[in-house]
Amino acid sequence: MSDIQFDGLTRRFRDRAVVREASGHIQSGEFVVVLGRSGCGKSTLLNLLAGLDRPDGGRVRFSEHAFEAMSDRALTLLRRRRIGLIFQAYNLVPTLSVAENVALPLELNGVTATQRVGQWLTRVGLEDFGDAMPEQLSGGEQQRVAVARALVHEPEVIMADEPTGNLDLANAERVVALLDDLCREAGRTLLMVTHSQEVVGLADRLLTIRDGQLVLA
Amino acid sequence: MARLVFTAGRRALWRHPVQLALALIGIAIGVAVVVAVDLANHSARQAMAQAIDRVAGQATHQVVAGPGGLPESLYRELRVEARIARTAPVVEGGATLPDYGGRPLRLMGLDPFAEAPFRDYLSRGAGVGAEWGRLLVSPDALVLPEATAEALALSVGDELRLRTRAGTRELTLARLIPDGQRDLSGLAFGDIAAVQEWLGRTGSLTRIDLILPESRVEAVRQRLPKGAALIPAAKRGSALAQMSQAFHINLTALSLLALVVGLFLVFNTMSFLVVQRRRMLGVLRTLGVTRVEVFAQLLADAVLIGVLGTALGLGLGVLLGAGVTQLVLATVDQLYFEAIGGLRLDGLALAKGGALGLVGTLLAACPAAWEAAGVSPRDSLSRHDLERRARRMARGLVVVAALLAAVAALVLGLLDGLVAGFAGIFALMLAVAALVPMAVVLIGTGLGRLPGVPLAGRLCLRGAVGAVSRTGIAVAALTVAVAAVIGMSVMIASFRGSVADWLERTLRADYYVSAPAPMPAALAAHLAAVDGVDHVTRSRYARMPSADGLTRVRGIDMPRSAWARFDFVAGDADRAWQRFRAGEGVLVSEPYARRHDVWPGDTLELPVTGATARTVLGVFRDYASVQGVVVMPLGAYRGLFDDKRLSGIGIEVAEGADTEAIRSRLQAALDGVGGARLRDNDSIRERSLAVFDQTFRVTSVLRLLAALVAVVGIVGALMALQFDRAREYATYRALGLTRGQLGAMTLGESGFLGTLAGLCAVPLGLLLAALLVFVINRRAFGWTMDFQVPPLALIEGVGLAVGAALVAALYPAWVIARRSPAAGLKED
Repeated sequence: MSDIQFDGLTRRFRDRAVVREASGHIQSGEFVVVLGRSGCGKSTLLNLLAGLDRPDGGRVRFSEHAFEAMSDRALTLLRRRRIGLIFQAYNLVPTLSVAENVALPLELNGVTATQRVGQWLTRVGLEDFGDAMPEQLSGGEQQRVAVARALVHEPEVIMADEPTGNLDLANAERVVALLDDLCREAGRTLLMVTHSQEVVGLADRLLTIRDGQLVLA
Repeated sequence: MARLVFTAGRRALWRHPVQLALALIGIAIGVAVVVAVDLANHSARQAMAQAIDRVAGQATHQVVAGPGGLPESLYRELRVEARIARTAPVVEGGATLPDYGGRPLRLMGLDPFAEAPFRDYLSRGAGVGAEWGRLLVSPDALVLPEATAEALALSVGDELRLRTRAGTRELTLARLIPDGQRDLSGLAFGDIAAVQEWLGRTGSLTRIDLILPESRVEAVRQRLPKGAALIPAAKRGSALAQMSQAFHINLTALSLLALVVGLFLVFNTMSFLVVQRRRMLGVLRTLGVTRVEVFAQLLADAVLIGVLGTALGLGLGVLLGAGVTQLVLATVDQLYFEAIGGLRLDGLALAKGGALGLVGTLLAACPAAWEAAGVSPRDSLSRHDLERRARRMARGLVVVAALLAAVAALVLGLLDGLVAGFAGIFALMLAVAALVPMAVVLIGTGLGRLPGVPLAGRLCLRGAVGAVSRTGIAVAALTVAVAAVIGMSVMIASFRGSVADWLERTLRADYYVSAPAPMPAALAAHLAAVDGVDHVTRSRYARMPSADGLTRVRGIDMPRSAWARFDFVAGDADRAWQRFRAGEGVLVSEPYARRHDVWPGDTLELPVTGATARTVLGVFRDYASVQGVVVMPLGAYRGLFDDKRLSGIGIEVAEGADTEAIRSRLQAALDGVGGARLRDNDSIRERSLAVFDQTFRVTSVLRLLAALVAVVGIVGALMALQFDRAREYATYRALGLTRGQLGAMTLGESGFLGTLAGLCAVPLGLLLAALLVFVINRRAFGWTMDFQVPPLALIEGVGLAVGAALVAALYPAWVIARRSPAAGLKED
């Protein structure tokens, strides 16, 4: 079980509250979309829920773990094992090959499963690109590598921050469909931040954020 | 820990091969300089230890001569009348081999029958007795160590020519001595009577070696003639070692200065490494890589760079060491003792260089790695946050600078000694370096706000300020390196200027007469009688080995007008003259005063037989020797040593006289006086300054190496900076900047940073020079000097900084201008 409960989350940058008193609950296996305009605080909320950033107020509870009580190391290890992250800018490690990028989370978790890397590359349609370097791939291909990397160690929760923001429509649809399929088949939680209305139809639930506040939960 | 985390880091290194190569060269040169100087120091110490050991042998004491040498009769007296069985007479002098490029040899004349208890190496080998017997009957028989003979391709029976002050002789190689454990290179032996003749010292001994129980010391001392001294052999060596220690510390510190500059550049390189990987590190952190793992990855790369750079540095150090050793030995020879030999490898020096390279690289990498590991994953992905933190840190560094400056002031003010002096200097350099990032922010922002600065200029300045996380470190590193170069240049110029002024003041006579052997006293009167000569000054110079090292005594007879040659550091010149003329005391040179702590009003007793306590009348500036000199009236000197000969005669011509005609007449008057040379004061001044330049050649080499480290380091740093901003430049191109404009902007930004570094380096360099002049040189050598700032040294320093920065920007400017904007915009 990997429920995420957050309560009264506030994050300020130079006196401006980017996220204000945000509260909510994401159940295990749900596909939740956080929708909102640019700069409304969506990514900041996701960073707080992923443990990438600390709130100025409020609490996050991931299953049995209260983030505010966890050290940086404990948060890092939690993220390593139980959360998969996908970013708009792909954020592949430029000095590692495609296969090595996908293998990285496995290695970090002490798993040696070369086969699994190959299987995931096949699932995202990049089985022939294992030895390629990230810079040799198109944007859509790089994001598919990022999807494989986020899922390869079978985390309970996938968090995606504008995963289609840099992609054309065809590639965007392909990546979202891929994510949806891969998460649903394994009953994973998928939290996606986007400003794209096209994704809304696929989601189980919608959270809308406006000026840092969740207006519909 | 995940292997791929390390793989990602290592590949990031290979991705920037030019930067990696420059980092390696920076470390390698830093290590090489330390190793080379250490090896040279070790070689010089070994040369000195062996020079003392191999010529002194097992002797416990030595009877050393005054300027006239020891009479042979003293040896007989000690051996027969005082019944000291273990005594050995020695006559010693320098010689060269004209057929072997003037190769120098130390010639030792020994008595084969007295030698056994002293220098056992002379009695090694087969048929010893017969060959030494042959030496006695042959006046031209020479003995060489095997290694020396081999190097000269000589065999027993071969003939060779030997040149001494007394002339050139044809000799026969009579015997070879196995070198064994001792390094005998540079020595040659002969029977004492033969060597006396070769050196032109018939009937005279240089010293007598003794193996003597303490109980007999006084008995020997009572038999010594006037001017001679009995000294413990070991003390002589340790005093010499102590004196030359200052020279070695100075060299070591200069090499450490080069290493500090090198380490600063390593720190710079590692900081860039972190900045370049900022995004990658952020990604790894989001994937669950811990701070410790990030730190470990960066340190692993530092270890790799450190190992490669250090290995390269050790190899370079040995090669460089051979050259530096020759320069150091030449200087040691000039300043302290006759040093013969070459590079001697030393495991400790290599281990120290290796450890400094590795540990230094790791220490230099730690702050950057620690900072990177401490940043949250969200911040790692944001450049804006990085720069905001860098500006905050720049403010914090101002406080650090104040603390470091306070530490430097305390160390320099309260602690004595060379090591404390250098520690203070290093603290001060770090203090100024810590101020540099704030200077970049303030000056860059200030200039950017000036009215009339064109857009391209404002972009350059904002680029430099906006990337202060990188520009601040690069400028600080360049500042430190250039300041070191300026500091050394100004120190050498101050020293050289002071020596030149001193020579101007000291060389007051128009002509000087000197000779390889002492000149008869009557010669002075003969020259004074030459038509057109106003007056002559007479001097006699003695250099005596003593328990305090070397005691130099000069007897001088001069008119009042020549007294101005002494530049008094302490004491009143007029009163001193009155009392000096009356024979009431002596003058001492500044190094002698500082070394022996004797000042006007104190009394000193020369360590020679028959000497009485003398009052010090004044202390004068003198750069002729590190050991210092005691000056007394010529009459007092003669009373002390019973030596009426002269070492030098100064001649002043009458006002308005035809100097060329007088020169011819003087030359004619000197005909027939063996080896006497007439030289004008200009040629002596030129020769003296040439010796000065030779002495400081090592420092100049180190200065050049520091400059090289600076250039290499800054090229790497600024190159990385420019490449790091490829995306920003691509944006400018996309917005319509031409390639030329972009290239000019890149060069402009680097030029601004170089100029800033050069300008910051000027005050720091001057401060460094002042400390070298007023603290270090005084503590090391006892010399004070005038502070002279040649504008050229400052211009060169600023030029070096600007030039290095522009060179650093050329390649990136070319690459960035050629790259398509699309490719640049695609880059992470």
